[in-house]
Parts: sequence; C-alpha cells; structure tokens
Amino acid sequence: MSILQRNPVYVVGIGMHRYQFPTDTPYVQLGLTAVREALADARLLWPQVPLAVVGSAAIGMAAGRVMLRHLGSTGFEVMQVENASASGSTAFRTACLQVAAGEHDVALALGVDKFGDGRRAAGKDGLQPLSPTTHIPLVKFALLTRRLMQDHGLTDADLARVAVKNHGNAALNPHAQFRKPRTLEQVLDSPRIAGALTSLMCTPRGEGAAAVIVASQAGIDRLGLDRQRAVRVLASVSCSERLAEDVPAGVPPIVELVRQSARSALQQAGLAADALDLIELHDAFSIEELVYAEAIGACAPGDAAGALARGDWGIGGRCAVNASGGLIGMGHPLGPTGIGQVAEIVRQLRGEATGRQHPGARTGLAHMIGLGTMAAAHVLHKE
Amino acid sequence: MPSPETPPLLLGHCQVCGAWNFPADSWGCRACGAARNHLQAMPPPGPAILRNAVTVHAELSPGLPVPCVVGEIELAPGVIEEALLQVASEADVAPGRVLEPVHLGDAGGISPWRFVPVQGGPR
Repeated sequence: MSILQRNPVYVVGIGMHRYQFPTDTPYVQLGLTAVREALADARLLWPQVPLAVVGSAAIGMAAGRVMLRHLGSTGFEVMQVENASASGSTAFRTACLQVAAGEHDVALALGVDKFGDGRRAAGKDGLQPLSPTTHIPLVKFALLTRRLMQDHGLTDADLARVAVKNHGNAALNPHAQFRKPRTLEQVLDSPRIAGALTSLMCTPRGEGAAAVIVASQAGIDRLGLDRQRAVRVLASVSCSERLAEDVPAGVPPIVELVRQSARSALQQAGLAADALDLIELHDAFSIEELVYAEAIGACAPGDAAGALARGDWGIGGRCAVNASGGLIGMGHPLGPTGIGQVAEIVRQLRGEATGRQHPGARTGLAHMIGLGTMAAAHVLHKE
Repeated sequence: MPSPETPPLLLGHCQVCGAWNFPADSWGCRACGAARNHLQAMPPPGPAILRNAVTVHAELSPGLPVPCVVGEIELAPGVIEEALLQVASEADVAPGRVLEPVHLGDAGGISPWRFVPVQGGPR
C-alpha cells in the first residue's frame, strides 16, 4: 500500500496566472498572483503554509525564496525542483509526499517560469552528438509521428483533429495562452515545422504560473478548511525511460513509458483506466495525445484516431482529454504546466470549470512527460 | 568507403556486457553501467541503416541550415541515433537504406558528420 493510501493528501486550494506569450512581467509577479489566488481559494493565510516546493525549468536558482519573501518571511521551508517539462509535476509530487510522510500538514506546490535561454544539461554532458537536433524534442516527435503514420495509418487529419479539439477547449479557458478556436483547414495550412507537424499542432513558447495547496486530513481539521471542496490525491508515480531493447518489439520507448507510468498510477489508486473521466496529458505535439491517451487506456488499442473523431475525448465525451486545452492550446511554460494540469482537474472535479465543465467528473489523471524521457502521473478523485 | 582523410566513426563496445554505445567516449555503458574505461572504441559492427527520416523546415538550432533532413540511423544493434542526412530530399532515402558516414571537417560549430546513401546499396 502506498503512503498516499495510508495517509490521505488533499488539494485544498488552486490558483493560476494565465499562460501567455513572453512579456517583461517579472516571474515574481507571475508566481505571486497564482499563490495569492490559491491561498484565497483554500481560505488560508501565508503564515499557515510551512512548506513551498517550486517547480521551474528556466528561471535560475533559488527563485522560491526570492519570490515568496514578498508574502512574508515566516521561516517556511522552501525548495526548488527542476525536471524539464515535468518540473511542476515533480514539485507537486514532492509536496504531496512530504505531507503524506507527516513532515508538514500543509504544503504549497508552485510552478512558475519565463521563457529562458534554452540551455539544457543534455548539451553540457561533455559528449558530441551526431546531430544538433539530438536533444530537441520537436524533432524526436516529428520522427515518431512519421513512424506511427507509416506503421498505423495515421493521417494528417488525425493529427490536426487533436489541435482542433485542444484549441477549441483553450478558447473556453480564461487561463489559456491561445483563445481562438481553429478549423481543420487552419491547422493543416499553418506553417510546417518538421515532418507532418505544423505550427498549430505544436505547443507555443510562453510564461505563466500555477499553484496548488495540499493538506493532510489533520491539516484540514486543524485549520478548519472546507473538506467538501477538497480533492484527494489517490496516486503519485514517477519513472524514466527504459532501453529500447527492454520494451516490447515495435513499441516506441516513450509510449511504453507512458503505458507503464499510467498503469502504476492507476494500480496505486486501485482503479481501472475506464474509471477516468478526465485526462490532462503532455500534448506538446499532437501525435503525443493520440499515442499517450491510447497507452493510458482511454480507448481500445488501435482506436485513438477513431475515438478522437467520434468525440469520445471531447468535453462531454466518454473521457475528456485535455479539457484545459492541453499544452497545444493552454500552453506549456514548463514549470507551471504539471501544476496547471492538477489545477484544471481539481476545478473540473469540483464542478467549477465554468464554460468547459465535463459533466459528472469524479476522477482525473494528470500525466506529464519531461524531456521526452521521464514521466510523472497523479490520480485525483473527488469523494 | 571513407577517404583516407576521413576519421572513422567509432562506437564504444562494452568489454563487460558486449553492448554497443555512441559516442565511443560515453561516460558509461548504457546497458550495464560499466565505467568508461571498459568501452573500447571500435568501428561499427555493420553498415549504418536508415530507420526513419523527416525534413526539418523551421530554424530549431543555431547553425543548422533549413530545410534539412534528419534521420534515425541504426549504427549497431540497439544504437539508434539522430543524424543529418546529406540528401536533396527525404524522398531520396527510404527506411532500410544503407548509409555511409562522411566527415565534413569544419561544419560551423555543429557535428561534422553527415550520412549519405551508399551508391548501389539496397534501397
């Protein structure tokens, strides 16, 4: 039994700073906007939060203390985690596990980022890759797209439908970077980036912030928080890619990583995939939603394009995939993204996603990929 | 075949488990974790085989002219690396094509290796 099963942890507050194209707004302002909203949502005061875990990939070291001191130097514990696109997911996981372990009964997970200089540890490992594209995820996923179009008969229109759905959802989300619905023709006719991927099939660059506050049952009781609006974190899982030789033949390692991480999270939660009403996943490139949602179990094997075309993954469908607009529509500022997924699911499970509410939502999965090689998965449930 | 001036493209052959690694000076074996000193720099055990390719249209990396064709190339069993193809169009090469590494010397700060289809090789 996992520690989250033995010691329940709940999301009690959420807050956002809208994702947006790069501006001169300091990250401190982005982050504090999200934190203040989360505190108000939880009806907590800053001195009641003893731990802050900050997820950021591009700002630089020690952003947490620099930012959060403006709320008060209360002596809180603060740490910063970086895990590429999964920085926020990892910050959330760290906060949940700290609370479940009993170190604190309340914790803040905050994701905040500005568009950075793009320097990555992978480019500083002292080794010379064969291609300057080796560590560029877009090229990796363009190659995956080509392979899956050849092997599974996926079409340009299948790829474009992901973007149409997610731009449409984002148009309903006031926190989203893109707010325009797009047609199939607009997606297909947008500039080609690599292989079959066009610009509207790819996540934009941007900035923003997302915050969630988690608490134990003891924390909820001690602080008199509203238990009725709390959403339980049923599972938290993180792992990384295995060697290609160690995954089933013909399955790309990234797809097997998603399958394994989602299966582990659902097992930890004691649920089957068909219990999921909502999935927020890493659709930085449209091919990812098709293969990840299928790997998670949102459709029968081989039926991803069909499920999408039938509307099974739309808001009001069998399982709403990326009701927020996903990375393609809502945006992907890196540090905030995984926490923004959690905030969206919490909002949906509370029935507070005005204008884009998925009816009857009880259970959701937040699934994130970092640098195309590691995964973090969280199952959330409204009791 | 590479000209006499062309340095050979080398892989690291693990003397502990037999796995192939790229680059040859990797910090450890990707399969068993053996330390760098257990990797012996050797030519690939067979021809380089193209497994997949796409054309990159957008400027994604400083110094990389576009459009360009990027391939996934199997250098040895289990070792599939992205590399730049020296072809006019991705239509000129199909998966399964045998490729030959060519060293450009100075490539403007990016990797000097390009892969070209072997003339007369299987298409």
